[in-house]
Amino acid sequence: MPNTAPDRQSVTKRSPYTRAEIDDLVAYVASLGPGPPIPDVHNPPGDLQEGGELYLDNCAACHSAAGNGGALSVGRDAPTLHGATPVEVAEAVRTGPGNMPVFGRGTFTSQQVNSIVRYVEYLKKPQDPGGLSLGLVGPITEGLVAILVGLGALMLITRWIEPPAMREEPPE
Amino acid sequence: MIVRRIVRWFDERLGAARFVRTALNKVFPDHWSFMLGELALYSFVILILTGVYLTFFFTPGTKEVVYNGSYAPLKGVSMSQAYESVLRISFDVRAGLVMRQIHHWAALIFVGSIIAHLMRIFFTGAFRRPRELNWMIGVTLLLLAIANGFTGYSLPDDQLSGTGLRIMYSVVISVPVVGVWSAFLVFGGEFPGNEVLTRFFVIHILIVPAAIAILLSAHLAILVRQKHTQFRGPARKERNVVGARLWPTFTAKTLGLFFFVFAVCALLGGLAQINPVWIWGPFQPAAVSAGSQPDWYVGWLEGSLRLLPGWELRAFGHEVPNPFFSGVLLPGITFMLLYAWPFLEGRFTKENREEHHLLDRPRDRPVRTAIGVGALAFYAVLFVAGGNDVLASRFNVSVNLITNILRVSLFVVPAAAAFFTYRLCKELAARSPTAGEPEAPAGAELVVRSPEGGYVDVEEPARTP
Amino acid sequence: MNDEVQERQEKKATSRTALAFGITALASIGLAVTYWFGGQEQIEGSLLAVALGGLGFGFVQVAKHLLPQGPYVEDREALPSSDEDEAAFAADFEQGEGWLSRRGFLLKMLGLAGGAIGIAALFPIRSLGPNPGQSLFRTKWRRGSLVVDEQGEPVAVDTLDVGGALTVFPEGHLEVEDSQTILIRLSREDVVTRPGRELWGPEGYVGFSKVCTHAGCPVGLYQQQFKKLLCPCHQSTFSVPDGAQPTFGPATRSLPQLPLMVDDEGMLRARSDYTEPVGPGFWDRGT
Repeated sequence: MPNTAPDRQSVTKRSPYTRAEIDDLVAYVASLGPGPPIPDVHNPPGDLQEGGELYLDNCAACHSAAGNGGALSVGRDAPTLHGATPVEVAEAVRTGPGNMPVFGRGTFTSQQVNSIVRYVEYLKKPQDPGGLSLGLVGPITEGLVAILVGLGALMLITRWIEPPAMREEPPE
Repeated sequence: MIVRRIVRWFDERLGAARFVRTALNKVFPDHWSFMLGELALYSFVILILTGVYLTFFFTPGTKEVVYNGSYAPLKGVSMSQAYESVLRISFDVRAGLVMRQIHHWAALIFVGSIIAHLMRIFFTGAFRRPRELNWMIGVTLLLLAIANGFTGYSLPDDQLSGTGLRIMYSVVISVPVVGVWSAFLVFGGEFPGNEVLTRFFVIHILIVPAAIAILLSAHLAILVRQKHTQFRGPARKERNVVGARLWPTFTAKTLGLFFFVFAVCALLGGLAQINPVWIWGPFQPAAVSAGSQPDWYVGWLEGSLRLLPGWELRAFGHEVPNPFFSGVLLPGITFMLLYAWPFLEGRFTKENREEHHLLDRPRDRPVRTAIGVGALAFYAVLFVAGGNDVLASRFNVSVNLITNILRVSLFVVPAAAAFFTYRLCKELAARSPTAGEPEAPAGAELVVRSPEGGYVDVEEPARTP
Repeated sequence: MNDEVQERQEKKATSRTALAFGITALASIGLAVTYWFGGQEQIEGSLLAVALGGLGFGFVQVAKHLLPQGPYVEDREALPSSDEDEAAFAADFEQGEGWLSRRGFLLKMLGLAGGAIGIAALFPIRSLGPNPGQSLFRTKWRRGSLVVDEQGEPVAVDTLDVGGALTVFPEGHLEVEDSQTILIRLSREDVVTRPGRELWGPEGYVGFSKVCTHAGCPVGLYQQQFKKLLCPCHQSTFSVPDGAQPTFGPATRSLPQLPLMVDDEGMLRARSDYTEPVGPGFWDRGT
């Protein structure tokens, strides 16, 4: 804030206020009228499995199953979730910033929101038993690795096995 | 001496010694690019080995079960038994994940090496008479490999492949007149139904591999019968083959290559994660993930579906919907052209009047090479288009803009690539005329096999007219 | 090259090969040990690669340095058969073919038999799936169907905030693919997207089929500021206030809108099924 280019995706800027000043501003605005409080992401405690199901049903379409984010129309972006704090995630769900829909109290209970928060936390460091995660981007990176690294290495190996110079040299 | 006894035992019963001797002495020309087909062959072997292992643990089918394995985020979640069995293989079967990953990496390399091999055949003109038949068998093998890849990665019933199945269903129903019936028969009803995964399982482990094995055998048999082509060079003529013998040298080389192919697949399978189905989640008909792409060899079709603007035909209550043009017509024309190419070129160049066993250098055939490069560029643009949303997200550019740019590129880039390739070929050909008269180097130790079948050591090779 | 150099080369190649095979043996033992103690994917893959690579390296060393290189020459016979062979083949084939050409009637009967049995053999294909009938023209939504979320909870007038979006189904038909609906709240007042749809958008709620009219993917991205639905598969974009009219991408048709109403208890229900087939197009769609 203020958003100097409202027709483009808003970017995070450094705040000129201290934490204490922000808390004071929040308290003042809250005194002017009713509004949702800052979500408590620990009570009630979120459930990882429920969070996964809710996330895949409601969030993955924009933010991708791995939380990498995704493209929206005309240059907008559903951002990656890997840098969001649990409170930021819960706040975004409740307020629907930018192009994000609003998931209010009638849509998700606090328990459900906290479950989603828990799953998003998990996505920051998911299990990668298979090795290098390649950014969890999907078949594009997998295909590039298979062709450039796998097939590339094999073509180099075939050249090593059968160097082209071999056929030019007359045998002794 | 044991070997002698064994050989005699078989020969008494099969009369094999004569035939095997001919086979052992077969000459294989030496060039690294001739080994690309073997890369495909050995990837196939690895797929069979790892695939059989996986069939011992995989359970096809959509029956709902509740997950109770060691992957915590999905504990207690209900899913199909197919998905559950893949989670079990990945988390609870020792070495299961490595086998599964080797299998999937090998599949990506399998299709890649077929295409690399196809490119070598194309750019060197090896498809010309008498090898048109083998070319068509090869194109069919490519088709079967892609089909098996698609059916294979759809088996785990994860969200990503399920999305792909929905798109496939829509492409099938877009076919005029018979589309809807075809989809209902293949899938057993409306999407998603309960049948398609078990049917894909049978197709994937039995029908297509058997077809590949049969066609591959024919492919190799024809190769043996017609003998391999070779580049021009010292002593190499249309009427001979120069190189190493099948036994023992070629055998050792090719065995070595097999182990290296396996090694590369094993390294990737252990170190690079592929298709983490637990992140995509079990398939649900109303869910989808941003950044959904098919495996790379289907990427060109995905790009085609994304690039074609909202055009379709509608008249008299009937319609030919949009996905028909991008999903059926485009690949149909692609493969028709592939099949027909030897005959198209042969008609045009009149080269189909005689046999060709000596290969072209790509630079000596600028028109063919330019067309080939242009075609590759076309499919490359389509492949890039298949990832337009990932590109947009990664580079902070509008996906609408990228799509429009790629729509234009689809025509501009191949034309430019073909043009520049043509010029480059002409330039390179002018700088290096073809290799000189085929003559054996003096003093060469040559073993010559006569048409009657005998082997003759010659000091000086006979000059054949 | 002279014999001494050759001998030294061969010795080097031999020791390299032996070393490679030795490494293979060690790596294989390592594999067995890893497996015995519980297994670990990265170690398994790497050791397997080393074991196989050792074998590969050894065989290639043998092929390149220890086995006869040639080059050897083999003549190509002419592929077409000689004239005598062709004539002999023609004569032998004539034996059967000549007989055949004189039995036209029998051949025709064989053709009839073969054709008929071939066609009959195709009939079991019919059992693979049901007659499509009206399946693609109807969903599970009916007049009065209660709108429920993916947990089965009924959707009430205060379920969604303005700017909210949710996937819903008709009660009793959760996760039925063709009935999936994206429910969006545009405002607090009734919304009219097109003429004739005055009653379809009570209290700001509009419902559209979530099955993309291009290739069937769930149109899950609701962009609240643009009021546009975006399909992640091929980027078809639909303008919600205009009745989900396509504005970009390959989709050619609007997402069908579900006529909604609010019942006496404040619950959302459908007025009827969708008034047109949902999802991608097909040959008979317009009939």
